[in-house]
Amino acid sequence: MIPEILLALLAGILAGTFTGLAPGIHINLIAALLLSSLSLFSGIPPLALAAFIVAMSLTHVLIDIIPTIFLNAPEEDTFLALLPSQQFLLDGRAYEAVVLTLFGSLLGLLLLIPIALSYLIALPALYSSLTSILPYLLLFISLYIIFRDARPLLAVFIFSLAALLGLITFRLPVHEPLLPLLTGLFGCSTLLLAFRHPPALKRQQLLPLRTCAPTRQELRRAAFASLLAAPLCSFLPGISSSHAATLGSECIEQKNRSFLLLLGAVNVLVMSLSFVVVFAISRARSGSAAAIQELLPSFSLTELLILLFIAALTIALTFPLALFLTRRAITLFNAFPYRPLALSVIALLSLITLFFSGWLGLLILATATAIGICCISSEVRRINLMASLIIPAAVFYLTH
Amino acid sequence: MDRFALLCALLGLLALMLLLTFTPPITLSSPSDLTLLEPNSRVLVQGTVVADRLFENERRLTLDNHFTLRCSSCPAPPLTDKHIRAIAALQRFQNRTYLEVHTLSVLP
Repeated sequence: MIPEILLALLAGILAGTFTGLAPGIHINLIAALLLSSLSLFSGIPPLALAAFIVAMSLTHVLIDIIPTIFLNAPEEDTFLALLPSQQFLLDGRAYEAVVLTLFGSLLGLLLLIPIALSYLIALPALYSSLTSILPYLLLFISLYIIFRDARPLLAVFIFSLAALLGLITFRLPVHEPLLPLLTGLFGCSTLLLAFRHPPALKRQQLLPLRTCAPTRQELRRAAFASLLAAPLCSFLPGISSSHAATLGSECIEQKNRSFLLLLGAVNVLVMSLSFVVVFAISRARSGSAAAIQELLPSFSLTELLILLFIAALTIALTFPLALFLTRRAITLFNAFPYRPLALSVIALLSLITLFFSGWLGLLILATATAIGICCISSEVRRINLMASLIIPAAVFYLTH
Repeated sequence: MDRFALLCALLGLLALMLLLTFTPPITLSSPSDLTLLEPNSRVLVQGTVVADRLFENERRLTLDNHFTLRCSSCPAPPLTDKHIRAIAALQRFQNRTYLEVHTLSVLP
């Protein structure tokens, strides 16, 4: 069993590197493909397959900050990194942005054990009472985020557009609805604007790791904010790690550097805790967790501990890999002009959407891109676009 | 705000709403046809009800052509042995496929 698990770990890191670097490819896609072709893997122990999912998921979480920062091609969990990291990119300090997010991931790993223990103790008792207030909690979090915006009326308008798009998208017969929805709202919109108004970029520099590493104060701020927000957001559907990062930064003020640390920590925590949630209350909050639930129907504590160990090992191995890939990305980024690069990524994302979601997906992508551009051009915080996920989740819980 | 983007967003939303509302349902004759469809696909099924059961606060109708329908707003009298036509939406959850009825009519 151990050799299979270790091989699965390495395969997962490889798969997660591919999904993390490729804009628009979600780990949920790979997890779904794996589950739909389980008969091909009948000779492999389910725990090894679960280890593959865990390794792939955590690697993806660490690696996908690279296309977010360099290509403005974020995903659901990284779009909030765009604004601070854009400033780093403009200043030629994209490497520093990646390093901070990676250190945040290590911080998340350290915080995982105490939070996981509290989940195991408290969540089974609390979840059933939380279920009835879930939709109201989702709405409260949304209202909180809207009215913290500097322009609340515009924020309400953007929020409503995104909510309407989400409600319609999740009722349409489209394959992989999240792909065109999130790619358009957070990826293509930013890329299109950057193509139309290319930013004045300084040449990217490779700074020493010691220069980029966070200070103790920054780590402390990010840690407290993570402890406040990540546990709440790790089991609520429709609430992503970006909400956790926003809530955490609202409670404890963050500068750009510590916000990236916070985002890195929260991304790791939310992903890892989704596996703990499967064990604690048999609910899958992420596609990866749903795949684990399918592979291990009688999920034992021993299996959970093995998977958490795999998660820790993955982060430890992926940290230097991410630094290596970032250095390569800097070389490539400095070699190519930005506008053709942005256009190529838009074309690639459109092709991916057409392949997975068809013509209907392209229409959703175009609409989502337009809404994303409305949001950015009106200087409303992009977290309001998460209404596309929150409102459908709230409506679901209210009507079921 | 970018006015062109706003116009595109509103037109896009309108187009999607029209597609959602006015796409005609797909007529199905056999449950095996369901495997080819995406969740949320609107389908039209017809048949004689062979079983009308209450299950976990939900009404389930089984037709003679082996379709199983979930119904939360069906007419109150039992529909056993009645010939019905239903427009439903295909749903998939945790590897289970079911049809959620939107409209149901009893045929003479």
